[in-house]
Amino acid sequence: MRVVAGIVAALVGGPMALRAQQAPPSAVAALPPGLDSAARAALAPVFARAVQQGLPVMALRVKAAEGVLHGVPSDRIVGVVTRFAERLVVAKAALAPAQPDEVSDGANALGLGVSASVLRDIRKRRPATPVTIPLAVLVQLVTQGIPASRAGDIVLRLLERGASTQQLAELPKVIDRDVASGVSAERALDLRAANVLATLGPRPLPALPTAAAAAAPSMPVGVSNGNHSGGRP
Amino acid sequence: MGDREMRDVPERDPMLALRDDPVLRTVVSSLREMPPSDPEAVRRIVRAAVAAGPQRASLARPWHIAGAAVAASVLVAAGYIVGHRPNAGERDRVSTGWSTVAQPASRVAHGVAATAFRLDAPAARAVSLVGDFNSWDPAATPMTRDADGRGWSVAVTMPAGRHTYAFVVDGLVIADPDVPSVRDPDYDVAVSALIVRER
Repeated sequence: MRVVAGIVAALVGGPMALRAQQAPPSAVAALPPGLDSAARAALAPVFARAVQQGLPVMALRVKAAEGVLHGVPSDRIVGVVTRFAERLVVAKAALAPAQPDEVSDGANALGLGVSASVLRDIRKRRPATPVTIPLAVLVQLVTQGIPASRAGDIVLRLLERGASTQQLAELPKVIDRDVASGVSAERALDLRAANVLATLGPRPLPALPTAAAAAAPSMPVGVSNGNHSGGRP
Repeated sequence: MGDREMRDVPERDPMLALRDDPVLRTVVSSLREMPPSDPEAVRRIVRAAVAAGPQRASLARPWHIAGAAVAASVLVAAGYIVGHRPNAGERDRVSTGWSTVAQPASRVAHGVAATAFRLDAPAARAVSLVGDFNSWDPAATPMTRDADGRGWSVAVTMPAGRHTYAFVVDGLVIADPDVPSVRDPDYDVAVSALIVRER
């Protein structure tokens, strides 16, 4: 019986241990304490790939450690961390060039149903500045119960109109208060965002005309080239 | 009624007031230093000064102004302190050097400055703060018991962004009871959230 158990242990545990040994030392070192051997073996290659892909390994460690602290079963932790690593890849591409914390926040947003295109649009609106706060606000709005698409639309509109970091960061806080007073989170977001938008400048001008359009005869500002009716002759 | 009172009160010789009021003496002496003038004009001026009352003409007036200025400064300073003190007014408006304490969820703290956390747990034997900023390590950020014996506090510096956190009270993980908790979508557990704004 002991022989059979030894063979089974060798068959099951051997490859796991081998996989863990094959992972780079940095990746293995990043594994949080408290994981059992099976989870460590399963996550070691995930961490190793993350190192190779330039993903923020610390974010993976934090995600795994959170599961350990809350007493989540190991197999579930492995699943959560593996999926999180996949989201990190998507977030990194969508937010490029991105800092590690931006990639992590982006992955969290993706996990809440925010689309990668929203992440790309956020980066487009803030190409030269960190988007940590817009992403943080977006994630927080969704966790407050606002649909991801709606929260994404609002954050993008605010960014487009030049809302400050402070104006963005205040939104979840005031929405918390509104919700505490009985207003739905989505309604509160609409009201609060409208207030912020009212303080901002006009909508940005449309994109510059292309070369072909620029070659066309120019028209006076405010005159439409469409078929409008009711205007002066 | 008013006319009768006016008639009943004998008019005081304004020059007699000079003996009592140093201010008037100063005014009169300064007038005397001026070129010769009509004595009646001097009398009118002195009468007007007496009618204005000794307090209003007092040299102590600048001190009143200074006192008001000091009082205003004290009030302004007090307002500044109250406005920046955690748990006063907007509890989650935090300034450098002051800490956030048990604010609502989605609270906003300014980066760089330490963000302080406080939990009322008078019966607890050990409390620590855990979160994504310390890899959810219960040993990383122990909290210390406040002087009042009820609360536990700690201050940590966190980078800008959204942070999730919880307290570990005698081994039990709990969300911040003073703020609305949020569900962690991955593990389906209640945590608290904080947005730290960059400076």
